[in-house]
Amino acid sequence: MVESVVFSAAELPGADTDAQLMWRLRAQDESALGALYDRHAGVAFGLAVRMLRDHAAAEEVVQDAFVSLWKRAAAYRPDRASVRTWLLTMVRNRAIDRLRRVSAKERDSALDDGLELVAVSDTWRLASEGMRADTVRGALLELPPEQRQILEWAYFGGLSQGEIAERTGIAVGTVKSRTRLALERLRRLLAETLAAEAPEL
Amino acid sequence: MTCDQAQDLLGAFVLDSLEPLQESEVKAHLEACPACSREAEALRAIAMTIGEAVDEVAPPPELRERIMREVHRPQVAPAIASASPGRRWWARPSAAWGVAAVAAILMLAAGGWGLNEHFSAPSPGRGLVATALNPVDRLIASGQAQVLPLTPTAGSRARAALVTDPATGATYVLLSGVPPLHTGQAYTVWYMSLQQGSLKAIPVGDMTASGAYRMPRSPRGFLKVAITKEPAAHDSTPRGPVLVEATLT
Repeated sequence: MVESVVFSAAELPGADTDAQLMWRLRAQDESALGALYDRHAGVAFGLAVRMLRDHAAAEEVVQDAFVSLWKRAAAYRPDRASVRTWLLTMVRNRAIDRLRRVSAKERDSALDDGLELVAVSDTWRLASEGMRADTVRGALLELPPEQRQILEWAYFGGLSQGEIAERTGIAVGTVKSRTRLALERLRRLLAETLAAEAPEL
Repeated sequence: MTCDQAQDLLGAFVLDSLEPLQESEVKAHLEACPACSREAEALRAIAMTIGEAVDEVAPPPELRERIMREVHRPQVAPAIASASPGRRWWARPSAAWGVAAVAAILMLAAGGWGLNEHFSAPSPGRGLVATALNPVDRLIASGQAQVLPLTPTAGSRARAALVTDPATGATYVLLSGVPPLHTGQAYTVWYMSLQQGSLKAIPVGDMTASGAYRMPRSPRGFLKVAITKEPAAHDSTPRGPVLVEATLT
């Protein structure tokens, strides 16, 4: 008997979490991809539709993102992002490519690799695993409207700072500072909400 | 670019909203400045949660089928783990040993098992490592893991991989897709080397179920690694069928 058993399948019961499904994905278990799809396709498609406003294009983007999830499962870093966030980032990258009319061939696949999501803290990481849509929505709603608008244009619209400046009529430098402030504020709001919702953390 | 200048641009940077020239300037600064780099990473983590706020929209049912069809094609098999950029002594199995391993097979357990937060408390007497953080996950998460998928033999449903920590030499075997064994039987790990023209196998350890196992020694210096299903406690020669194997260099 190998003396040091790290863990054995027989000893760890419970329903599959996303992280477990990613392990199975790495082993080319197609049913794990199906399970992840059932869990996250709604939000992924919702994001693609919101960004592209075109159901056919949104389907292509979501398909591409799930196939990437499959192909690149080994690159997934559980300490950096929840599976859902990683998937949504891939959806967004592809949608932005379309919005900016960058062909798929030109896309730097490093964009996905470059996802430098690092947990702010363990608490944040644990909390972000269970981040709910209404938590984020609530935090966004608490931002001053002009800050929220900038974040939404940049995140969902893929607009550059120059384009946002044109739309708002404010100076580019101010847009940049406000973007930074908006994210800082979002960070505080999310942390507060999560602390209130999950005192055991 | 100074830190102050970079910091002011970080919000736009993590939202991919900077013009290309400025973006490359920020990138260059981040590569040289760990403090700003950490801040950028933290901000990006926040920025990327924004997508969670969208209303879910049910995709058409055929989308799921299209995706499953696409990944079912063998050429879409996952690539070798890019989580293991530092691998050196790993090689794809040579032509002599058959099919090249293209899949990063890490593990697949009948019941599945968890990463850190679901790593259950060790049960007494089973030798489970008593840490809250599963060491294999930690190793993978470090980005330093060297991963060698083992190629299943024809008809074998077993999946396995060797994961090594290049810093410490700690070696784990991840085994999956195999049924638990009766007492006395074993899934045995063998390291093999070429001695006087013939392949000598030494037994490294026995396993009885899917799981992750710390090997008592590194396979460094050996030619080949294989897992067999042994009908009885191992002696010095493999007798059961080979389930998975790979060649080392």
